[in-house]
Amino acid sequence: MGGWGAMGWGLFSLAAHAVELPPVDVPLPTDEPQSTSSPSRRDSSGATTIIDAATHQGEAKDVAALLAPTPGAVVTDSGGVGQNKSLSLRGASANGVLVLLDGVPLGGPGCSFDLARLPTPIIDKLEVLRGAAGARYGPGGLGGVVNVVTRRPTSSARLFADVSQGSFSTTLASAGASGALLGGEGLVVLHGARSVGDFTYQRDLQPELDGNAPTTQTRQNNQALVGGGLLKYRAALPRGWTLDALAEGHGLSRGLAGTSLNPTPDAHEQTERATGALRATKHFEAGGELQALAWGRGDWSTLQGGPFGPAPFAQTQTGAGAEVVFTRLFAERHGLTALLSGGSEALVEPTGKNPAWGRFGAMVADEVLLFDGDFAVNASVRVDQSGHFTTLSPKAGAVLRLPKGFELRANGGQAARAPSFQELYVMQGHLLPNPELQPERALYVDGAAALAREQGFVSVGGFYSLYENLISYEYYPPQLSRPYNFMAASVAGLEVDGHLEPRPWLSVSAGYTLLFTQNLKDDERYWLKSLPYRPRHKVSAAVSAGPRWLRARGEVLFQSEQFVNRTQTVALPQRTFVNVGASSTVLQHPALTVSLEVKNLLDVQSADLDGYPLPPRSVFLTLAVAWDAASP
Amino acid sequence: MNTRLAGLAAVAAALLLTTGCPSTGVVCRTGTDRCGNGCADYQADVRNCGACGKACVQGQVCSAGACLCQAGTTSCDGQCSVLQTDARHCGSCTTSCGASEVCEQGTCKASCQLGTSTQCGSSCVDVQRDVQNCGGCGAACTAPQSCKHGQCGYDLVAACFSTGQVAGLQAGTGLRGPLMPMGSGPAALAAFGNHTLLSADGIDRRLNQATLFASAGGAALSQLAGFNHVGAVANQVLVDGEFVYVVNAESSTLQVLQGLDAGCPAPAPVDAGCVDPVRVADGGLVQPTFPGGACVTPGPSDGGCFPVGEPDAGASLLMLADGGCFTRPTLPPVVSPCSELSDAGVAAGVQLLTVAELNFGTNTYPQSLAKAGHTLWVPLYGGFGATAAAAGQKVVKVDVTNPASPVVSGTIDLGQVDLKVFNPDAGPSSPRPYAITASGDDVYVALNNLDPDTYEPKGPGLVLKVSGSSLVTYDLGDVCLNPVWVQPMGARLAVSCGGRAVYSPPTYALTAVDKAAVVLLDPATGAHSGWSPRCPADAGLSDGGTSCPLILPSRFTSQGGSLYVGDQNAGRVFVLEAVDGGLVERRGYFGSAGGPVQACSVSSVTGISNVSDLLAVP
Repeated sequence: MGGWGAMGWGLFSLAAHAVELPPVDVPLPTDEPQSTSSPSRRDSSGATTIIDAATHQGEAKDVAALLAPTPGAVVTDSGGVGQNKSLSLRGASANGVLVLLDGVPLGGPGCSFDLARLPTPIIDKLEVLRGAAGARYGPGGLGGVVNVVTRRPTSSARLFADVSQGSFSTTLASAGASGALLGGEGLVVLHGARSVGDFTYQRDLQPELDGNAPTTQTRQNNQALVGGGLLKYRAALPRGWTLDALAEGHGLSRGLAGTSLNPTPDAHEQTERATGALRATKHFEAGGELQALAWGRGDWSTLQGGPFGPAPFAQTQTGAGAEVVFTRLFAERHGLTALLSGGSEALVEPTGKNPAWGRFGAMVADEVLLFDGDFAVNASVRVDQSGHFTTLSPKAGAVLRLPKGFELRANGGQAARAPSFQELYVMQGHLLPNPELQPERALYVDGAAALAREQGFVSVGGFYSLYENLISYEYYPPQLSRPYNFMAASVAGLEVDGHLEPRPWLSVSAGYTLLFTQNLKDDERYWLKSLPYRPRHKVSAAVSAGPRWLRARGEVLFQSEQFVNRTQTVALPQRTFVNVGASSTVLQHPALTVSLEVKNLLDVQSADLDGYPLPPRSVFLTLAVAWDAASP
Repeated sequence: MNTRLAGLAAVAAALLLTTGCPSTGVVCRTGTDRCGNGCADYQADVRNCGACGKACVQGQVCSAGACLCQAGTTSCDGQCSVLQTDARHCGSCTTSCGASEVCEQGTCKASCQLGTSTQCGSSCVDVQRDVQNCGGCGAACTAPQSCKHGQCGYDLVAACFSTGQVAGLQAGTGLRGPLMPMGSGPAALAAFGNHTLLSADGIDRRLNQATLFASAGGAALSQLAGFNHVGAVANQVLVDGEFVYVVNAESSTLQVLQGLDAGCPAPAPVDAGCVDPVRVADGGLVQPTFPGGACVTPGPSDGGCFPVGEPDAGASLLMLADGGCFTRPTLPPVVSPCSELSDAGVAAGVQLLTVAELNFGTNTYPQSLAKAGHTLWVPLYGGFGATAAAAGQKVVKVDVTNPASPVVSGTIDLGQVDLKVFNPDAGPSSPRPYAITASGDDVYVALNNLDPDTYEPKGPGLVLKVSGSSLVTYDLGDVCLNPVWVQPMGARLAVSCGGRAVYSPPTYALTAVDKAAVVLLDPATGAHSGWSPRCPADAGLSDGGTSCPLILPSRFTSQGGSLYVGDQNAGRVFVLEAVDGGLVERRGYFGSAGGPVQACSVSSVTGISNVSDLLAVP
């Protein structure tokens, strides 16, 4: 499972003191500078979990599966390959989680991002920063940030491919190559997936009547067709510059099956995304580093049928921006960071409102290193202007390294989320916009204690957040809903994370999240009630054992009951998923690995959101091959 | 080093402090304000009329924050008197009976003579009907209510969905009682038996209960602890004897509940003989003794009187017009003999049990129901979008000869109904049967007649008459779009029409409503006449429309020849009367009896208030 980013010290800690890094899942190659977009670097005292996609090859079919065990994370799932999946971090709504692709913000401003649109074949690792991230990443990250780190180009020639075939007539395949190119390193990855998606589930047709047996229903219009690719190029340039270039494209066509109560057999969605980025990095001999990132993104979506009507409801979101980050250690104690960012976001939508705004952000941070770097205190402030919204995001944090691998960490700050274009300006079906909305705001503190040794780590942390001006949709006559800022809420929680590798052939991971949410400003119908879709308890445990030629694994994911309304009168029951699998690398050169994965082994019947059935037991067989010229 | 640390901490703290902490805390429901440890409706609460702790005296009600004389009473020398029974103002404010006389029917007499009269002091009252002595001497109704069989209750009840409240209304005066909490989102109301209000809650998915009448244990419309789970979007409740039928639109089910104690007798009226008040001389207090020997402790130590409606359930001293006090004994709680008390000591209400549930199929969206004979008629609205809509567009007949085993006995397909689409080239329309009512053997269905995808009205408002095997369509299109409710009104039908709502950029707020109306339809001839809601011409010119928000007629009910029409936009109730085949506004912006009744309060957050249902209390 994931590594532990809290141990991933910031740049200045490393520079100030020759620290012996504890083991992490994804040790960075010494020749690759860490991106300043990386949470481990941008927010060195933050609670970061690093998830290595490669170690989950063959078992995780999508990013949601990779993220699900992460403490503090709750994935909501529409059910099925290619179907919508969203992420909540530390109780924040999905639209309060920033998702970045190598530092490039995905999705529109203030929008939640569909994790189904992130294919695993292009991913090297996921960096999950839990906790309000506005001070370092700007508006939107009320609950945290997920930075998707794509595969790295390699200097030696490498070829890889995999294909999976499994339940619900699902096929996934990817192939790629990497190697020296035009004086640098290049990478290409192509991927695709197809799933008919129909599955059976149990449904009680008389839910208010006791004693009746559920009936078997078939999930229809749940198909998905996915395709995309990644191109990367990296080269060393004159005068100490390094250039990283990225182009990524993704297309998804899927049926929107609707809820079990109200299926939508003819609703359909088609999305395409194209992202391009250039990152230039320069290390100055006199000290310091400058990274400049320029990016552009286009995101096209078309909804049709079902509640969207027969005419295509097409929206295009585009964004472009640039970010310059300068970091330098002054006087061997002050790690200063200065960031400037700017850009624009635009939306073209059917009603013709076509909102657009400019974005500007500036951040300055200082990390003070004390006691030879064993105690680091950081403070920062960031100001952002998004359209006519100005947000201020201060933050302070500290990390104290103690002997024998112990560490203490604490943070506090403020973050904000500006309303999305859709919330502000676009009428979507039965949802009206409200141009008078104001940004949501979060105040937060967290703290954690951790112990890291060669064989593993354990971390125990707590957090508390106060939210105000939360946006919620309310009835609007005669049959619509409209968003308003009126809610205040608190979220408090406990996160326990551990990973142990007592033997080379055995690894054990476990995580636990305790989450208390309360509505803090409302009448007694809602006051002190839990926010919906926030399960109180979440437990994950995974074990992997065996030599490389036959590695078996098992995983348990438990999620307690969660309310689906604001008055705590309707709830989704608790659920426990058990996944098992085995992999065997039958050849070494090229490496040929066969994996068998059984998801939802116990065939648990459950649903998410307001009635989206989750798939029953399913089986996937994966064949992966990789050839590396540098391997002996 | 310390300086640096302190500097960093100071900067961080300053930044956090300057941004401020969120405003938190429990707030009162819309229309109520903080008063002591609770919330009070200053507009209608006699204990807190206009301000916290500002109580009205006996005989008064609170309206618009001011104490008024209860209907049927007259202000004499600043006091509210029942001229028919008040010996000090017998027949008129200036007529006072002798010391040994009583007042009956506005006449001074030696003793009470009518068989229905009970002597309360020097008054001869009918404790079954007298709002000042309802159920017993001195037991005055403390809200704009009627005294029905010795119990204080409202004539109508309005459900306020947005604010999670219900409000009682008095028919004649149009006065409203205090807003009472009711679940989270009351969507549909019904009366079960003579004493229990049922409220289907669209947010909690519960069938909540409340008292229909006031009792010593609490005010009318007090929510009871008992409830049942219902499906998603319970849209209408129909009570038929001991059975309760609920249509759950999103769950696409008909739910049948049975009252386990429906056969219980109504609570016995209070024994008037045991509540003879003891007049207390000015300045002196006497501990009166009541049958059974129980002594009732007089009021506060300072010799004053308890204010009317003191919330304690025990005895209270009530102020009389002459400044003296008398003691009101403890009245037995008015709960069904079959009811239970919950652990919290709150009457649990009637026991209902779901005995059957009929699923019409996904996306059928049953919205309402009507019963004729042993048949329930359920219109199936259909789901969102053309494909899902096709699952509905029917009226289903359900045989409930045995209510615990409902059986679909027939279906009327509305696909052949001529929808009289305005512009056939602009795409098809969908019948969208929404509301239904039975009148005699005939059934009438209101057809929204909307674009299946956008809900835009594509044709006129239609009412479909199902009479045996024949279907007759009534076109209300000249005045009505999107009919949402239909009920018999005498030999005619009343139909409310939501009209076409217009949302205009850039705010996308509701800016216009076209052909919203209430129509009176004569099924025999097809003739109809409509009432179109109107705001005064100058409304909105100076205040952006806040003095008269757009009127969106919704559900209605009839009582006493009047039609009470709910408003989905700003919580108002308009009162109409049928005159010469048409509808005349009695309470509205052009009403002869005054403005509309502000039944539900407008949310300070959304500016919206939705009267989701109205019930005429039987």
